Amino acid sequence: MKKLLRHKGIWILAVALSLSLIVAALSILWGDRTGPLSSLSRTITAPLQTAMNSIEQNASHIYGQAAQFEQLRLENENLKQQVAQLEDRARDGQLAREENQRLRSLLDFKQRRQDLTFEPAKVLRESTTNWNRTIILSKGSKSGISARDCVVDASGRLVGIVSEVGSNDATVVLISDAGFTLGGSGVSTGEHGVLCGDVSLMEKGELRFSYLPRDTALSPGDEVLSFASEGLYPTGLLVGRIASVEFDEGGLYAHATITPAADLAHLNQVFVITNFLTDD
Amino acid sequence: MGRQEPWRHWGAYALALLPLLLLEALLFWRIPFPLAHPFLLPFAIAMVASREGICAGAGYGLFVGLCAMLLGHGSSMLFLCSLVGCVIALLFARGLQQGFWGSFLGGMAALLLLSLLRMLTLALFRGLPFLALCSIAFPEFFWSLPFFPLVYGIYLLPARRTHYCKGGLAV
Repeated sequence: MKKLLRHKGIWILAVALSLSLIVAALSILWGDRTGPLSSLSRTITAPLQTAMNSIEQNASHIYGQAAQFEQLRLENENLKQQVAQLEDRARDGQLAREENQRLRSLLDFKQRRQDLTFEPAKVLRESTTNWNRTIILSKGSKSGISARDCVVDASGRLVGIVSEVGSNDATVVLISDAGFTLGGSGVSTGEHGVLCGDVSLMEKGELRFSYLPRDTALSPGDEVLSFASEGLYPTGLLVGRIASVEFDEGGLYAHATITPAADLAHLNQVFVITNFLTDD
Repeated sequence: MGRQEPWRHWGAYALALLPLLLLEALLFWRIPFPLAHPFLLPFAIAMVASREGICAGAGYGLFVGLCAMLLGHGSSMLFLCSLVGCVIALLFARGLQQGFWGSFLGGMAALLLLSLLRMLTLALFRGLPFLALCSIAFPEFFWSLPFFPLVYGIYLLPARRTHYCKGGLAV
């Protein structure tokens, strides 16, 4: 190569200069339009340029992504925290809404029944035995609760009667318990009878309305209220609706099966009627 | 016998009751058994009464009754469980053999006796019809029996591990 350049260098330089001049002259002659040589060179280098461009773009994209990754990770963590906070708020909101509904219906019931004094209490636990249906309340005698106080839900539907009272807790016998007994009256007919739990109905959460007149006009769907003639218990508390009426063969009385109005399986908060005014 | 020995022994028995209470309070009650749910606490009384004697059986029965009260069984369970502990220990003292089948018989007797006593209590003091109460007692009895091996296994562990021989506590 050195020998070639030493002996033929002048000629190579001359050829190069000539080519340069020809290219320059052709460029001037073709003006703004693309010259044949330029077109040729562009045709040859276009795929290369495209490939280079693609590589450059990809590299730039990857670099950009790598730079954004940390930022995205932090943003993701922040968003997760925000979602958790919002879920907490939504849960609180749901609880507050439920409590609000309960208190609204209680307020409505309180306005209707101003003769009753209420003590709100939470249900600590329910009995898990086959033999009885009871709940334990979070308040006792210190809050003015005493044995035989009636317990209602937020809508004023009868839940049960307080059977045992501690200083800070109370046991409530639910209306579906086999040992429950209370006077009752049908709303549509005014007929009186005895509301009592029944061993065979306890599993289904129902109770019996006994000692009804044999020709009772009560029918399924009729509402039954509490009734106490001697002022032992408040009257007019909704107990439930009649599910069926049965007549004993040759018996003097008819009896009905009652489905409780209160949802006894899902009690969270109840209201103990600590005092009430009697008609007398 | 070390001074710590009785504490460890009875502590283990007390701890053995915990899984039964959890089963009854958290699991059985959520499973829809037809007519009645299993009741395992009498088996626990029988297991201890069979090994520890009359006084210890009555004492452990009292403890089980207290725990049963927490599950909502009513305050009468304190006395009834204690009585069942006494009677079952007496049965074992009079010839019922320890071991799986003996304990199984003892457990059945404890469950039947406790059911009978509860039925009598409810019939006498709350006026509930005695025969109607059988519709609770029989399903409860039959649903409980399949769980006896579990209770037996749980109570065998503290009895063997602690190696505490009954002495002053037993009669």
